[in-house]
Amino acid sequence: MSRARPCIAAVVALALAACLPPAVAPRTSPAIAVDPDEQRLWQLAAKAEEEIARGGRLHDDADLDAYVLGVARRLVPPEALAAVPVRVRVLADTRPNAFSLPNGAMYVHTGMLARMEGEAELAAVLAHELVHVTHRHVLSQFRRAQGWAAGAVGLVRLASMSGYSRELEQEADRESIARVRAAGYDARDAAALLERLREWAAAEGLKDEPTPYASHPHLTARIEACRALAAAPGPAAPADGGRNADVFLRRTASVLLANARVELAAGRYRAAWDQVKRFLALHPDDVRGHVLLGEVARRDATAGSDDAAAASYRRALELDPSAADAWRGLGLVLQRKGDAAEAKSAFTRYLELAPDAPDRAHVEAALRRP
Amino acid sequence: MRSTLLVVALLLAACVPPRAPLWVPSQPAFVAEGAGYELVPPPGWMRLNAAKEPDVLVLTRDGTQLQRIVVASTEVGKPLDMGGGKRVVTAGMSTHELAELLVDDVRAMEGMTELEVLENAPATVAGRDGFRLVVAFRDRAGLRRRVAFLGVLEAGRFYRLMYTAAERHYFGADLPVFEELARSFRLRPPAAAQARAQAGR
Repeated sequence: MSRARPCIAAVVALALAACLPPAVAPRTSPAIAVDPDEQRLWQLAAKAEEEIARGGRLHDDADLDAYVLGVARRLVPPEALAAVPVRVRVLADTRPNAFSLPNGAMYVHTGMLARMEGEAELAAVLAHELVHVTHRHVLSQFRRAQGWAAGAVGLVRLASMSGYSRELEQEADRESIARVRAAGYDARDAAALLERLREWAAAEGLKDEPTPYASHPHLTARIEACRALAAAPGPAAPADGGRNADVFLRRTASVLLANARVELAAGRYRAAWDQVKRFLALHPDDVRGHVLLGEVARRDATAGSDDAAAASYRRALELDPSAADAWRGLGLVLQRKGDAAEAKSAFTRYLELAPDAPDRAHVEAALRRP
Repeated sequence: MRSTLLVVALLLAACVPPRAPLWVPSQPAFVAEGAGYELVPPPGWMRLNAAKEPDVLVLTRDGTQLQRIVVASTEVGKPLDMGGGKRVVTAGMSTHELAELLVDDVRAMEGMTELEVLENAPATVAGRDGFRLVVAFRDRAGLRRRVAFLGVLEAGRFYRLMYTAAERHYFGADLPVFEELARSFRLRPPAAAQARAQAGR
């Protein structure tokens, strides 16, 4: 390389730096004013928040919302909390994702919670999103994209829900690991969760960047970066790494069942099976869990799955003989196995218990068959 | 100079093959050679001119958001490929299970809420034992929609006819059109089966 090249590169770098908008300071206290651009971004965010609320996809579990918000509040310095009204809702969506809006509204998908194993992983995700909020990353992105001319509505959506620039994502990882540690969580769990998402993506045949949360900047690079950040000297995590696995699993149990239902509908039987099994490990006598496990096995239709389905339905019926859906599923699986008499008996019981069932005509047709 | 450029531009334009229109008027008859079905589309509707999937029929009159009819088929053992799910039709599935598969498919649609199964019953489709299913839901745009399906499993293929429209006004208005189309639906040996039969003669 000639001697002139570094000079040219330095001049170009300086010129480019001069073109960049000034860095946006993090909002660490109420004393930092909300500027006019930011006020409009917050207004747009509020509209997006209303739209999400109207969309009918909020997971209805007030205890869970309170628990997640409690974890989030531990991850923000009190003076920053006074500046940004942080709130978190759980969205019924099987994709493992989380996102935040610039006004402090944050969302975690059921598909993300269902793949977590403890509170430290939840803290890692929330801390990452909180850094986007407190470090005003939407405003930064907005300024870099030449402001309102770039279309602020799209920008709020794109940045908040689809990811930020690589350097902002790196900052979010760097800062969030520090916050997770300061709050008494094992920061290694951030990488562990990302690793699990990578395995899930591979099992699903997806590319390396399965969802916005798990793609920015690049999943593999991010796992390495999080591991390196977590390995740096810092405060020691408590013995269980702050995982609080028992509490976490109990609080998120409703998510496992709700998410498994959608995974089942989408034909992702393995994910549905795993989630229902985790639910049943917490609530072994829950009829809904056993019926759902039967539904997963029956739809899966692989070797031995009919027997597994029948066993799950029968367990549900031991617990509650009036579980109409269990009789229906049992009838269908016995019909498939060629046990016509037992199938008819199950179908008859189903119609007694659910006389207005939408599939009554199918069941009656099965009962009429010789 | 300017006229030379104009001539060159015209010559170049003449070399570009005309692009086929995306929507064309529905023909008096539609034959899906590869999938093995035929039917009579409603007059006055437009058909999606999809070169990549010539055996999938998509029809609309006022735009696909307001109403559309889709006729498609899937080989047994292959994913349904609707709504991004991974459900597979297996040989020997009952009409009850096939209908359940389509309910699942709607349930897995992104942004879908308030799903209701309004009708789910055995029905005769192309002279075979099939099913009729009607569901209603709110789509991701907040629009309340209704969908009527007819389905039949025959000769290793799952055939389904779907009519969807905005629940208010549109669904009821064009349901008779869909029912007329469904009455004209006939199965025929798929092209591959015909070729095999001819080769065997």
